[in-house]
Amino acid sequence: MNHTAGAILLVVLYVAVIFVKALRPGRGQDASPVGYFLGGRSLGPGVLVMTISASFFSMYSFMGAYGITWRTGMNFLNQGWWMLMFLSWGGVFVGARVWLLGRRFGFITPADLLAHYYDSRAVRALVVVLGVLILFPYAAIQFSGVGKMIEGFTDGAISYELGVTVFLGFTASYTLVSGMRGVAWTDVLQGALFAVVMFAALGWVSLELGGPAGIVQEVERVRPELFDFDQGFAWFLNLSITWGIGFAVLPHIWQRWYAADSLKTVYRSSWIVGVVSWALCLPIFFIGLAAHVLLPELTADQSDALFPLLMSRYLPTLGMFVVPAAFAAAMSTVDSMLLSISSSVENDVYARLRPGASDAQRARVGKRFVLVFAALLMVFAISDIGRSYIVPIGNASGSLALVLVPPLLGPLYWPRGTRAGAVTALASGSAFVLVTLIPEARAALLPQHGLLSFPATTGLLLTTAVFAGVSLVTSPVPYETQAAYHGTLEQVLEGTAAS
Amino acid sequence: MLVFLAATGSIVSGVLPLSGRWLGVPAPMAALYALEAVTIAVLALTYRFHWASRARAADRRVRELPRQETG
Repeated sequence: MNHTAGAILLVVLYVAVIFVKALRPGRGQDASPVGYFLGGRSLGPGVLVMTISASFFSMYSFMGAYGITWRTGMNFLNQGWWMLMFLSWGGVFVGARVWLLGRRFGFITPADLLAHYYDSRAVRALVVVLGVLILFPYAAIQFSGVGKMIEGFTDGAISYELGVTVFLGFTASYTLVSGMRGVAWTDVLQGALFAVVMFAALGWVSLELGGPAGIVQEVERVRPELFDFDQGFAWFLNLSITWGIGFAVLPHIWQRWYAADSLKTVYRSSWIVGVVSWALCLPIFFIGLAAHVLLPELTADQSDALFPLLMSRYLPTLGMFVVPAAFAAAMSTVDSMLLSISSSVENDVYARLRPGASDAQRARVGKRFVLVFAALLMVFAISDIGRSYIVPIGNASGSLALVLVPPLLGPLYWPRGTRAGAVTALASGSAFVLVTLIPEARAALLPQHGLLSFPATTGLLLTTAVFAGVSLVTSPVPYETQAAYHGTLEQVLEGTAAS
Repeated sequence: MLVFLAATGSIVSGVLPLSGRWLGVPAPMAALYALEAVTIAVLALTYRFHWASRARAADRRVRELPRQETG
């Protein structure tokens, strides 16, 4: 059996296992939106760590991150740094409070929390639109990556379009049937698979080149310039702000905070997610560097796909696992995003239009939205227009997520935040980030150098200023609402009596 | 959060311009990994001796809260 056929067989086996795994936890799940979209708020620490990490580590880990290391060398260390420093605290500063309010008021989506606190349909609508803009293109990028990988791996025998369609069919099917609990358990399996493949590859590369220090010394001989931090401090800090702070409020991660079974689970998972994510950057960094020695003929155009190329050249047997591992990385991101977008439309649109719908009806409608969004994603990923917009909008996901941060300060930390402040901040922040996607507008609006040249950081500062400024000159939310939120947070987290 | 951001930013701005070699690798790389190792230890200890007990106590208080389904 050749290695291509072996890889396809492994993918089929992998999909079969995923289906079995996805169906089992879904069996006891109650037929309500909370049961389907949040797994009944019952995820323990192990599952929560794996589902957050696997949802966050996407196709990028296999078809992009290695190329960045290959091209930028030591600058890639930034990723491990911000993952460890910021992801670890995301659960403490944001996750614990979001979990508590979600439990107290029965929230399902990010829009629930913000719209309920500010008592505003406009806030709900803006958060839904923002959520779709954050998740939809990012999910489409995963499809695009898988389609390209399958087409490349099979030398065109399986076309991009067919690869995308098959991948979508698998992912939508098990997401549809299993809901959050099944998705979280498949994320455990998928996360374990791609971590094992990455670390096995790192072990082999280390043996070949004399350990991590040996890899560095070998690469320094051929490309010494890769060991300068030449991207600059502003770039480093901007990336830390974008993903380090934006991570905890990405809609699918936000809902994972809701899905935890206790505060202890949130705190414990939070720091372990930081450490796991940091650890997953190690193989990407060292293998990406080692490719300069092991694949000296590699060009910049090919560098994004260096991991499968390296595996097929030196370790074809382990390389067979790269395809299912890349599938796993992409599926574990897409399933979470599909569920998050569907829950948002079901809960924030359908349930508002049909307030009398039963829990079972709502869960059924939610499942239909999974199918609808999967089909839309496929059309988007295959069409020429979609393909040309996928990457630019997808790259803005982190910047758009940051727009949610200032309005969230109202219910979590700053009682003075107002409805008008939240609406204007959400509208102006999203508009700013989207406008800066146009190169000419970005050049006109932002300086050429420094921290403020990045739309994410500037957008966050702008949104914060608008939120604070407008809030200070408009009426705060009613005292009863402030007391219900901030009183609950103080009462539970600080142990003080409710006011 | 802003204080935390400023603190980590200051550390990184001090580490990135380092020159020379530590333990056979470029100094900024060795320094970053050393900082990360220390951070992992601090996180583990902070959880073990601070957050875990806080969270247990908070979970007890959560059980006494009224629940309301607004979603």
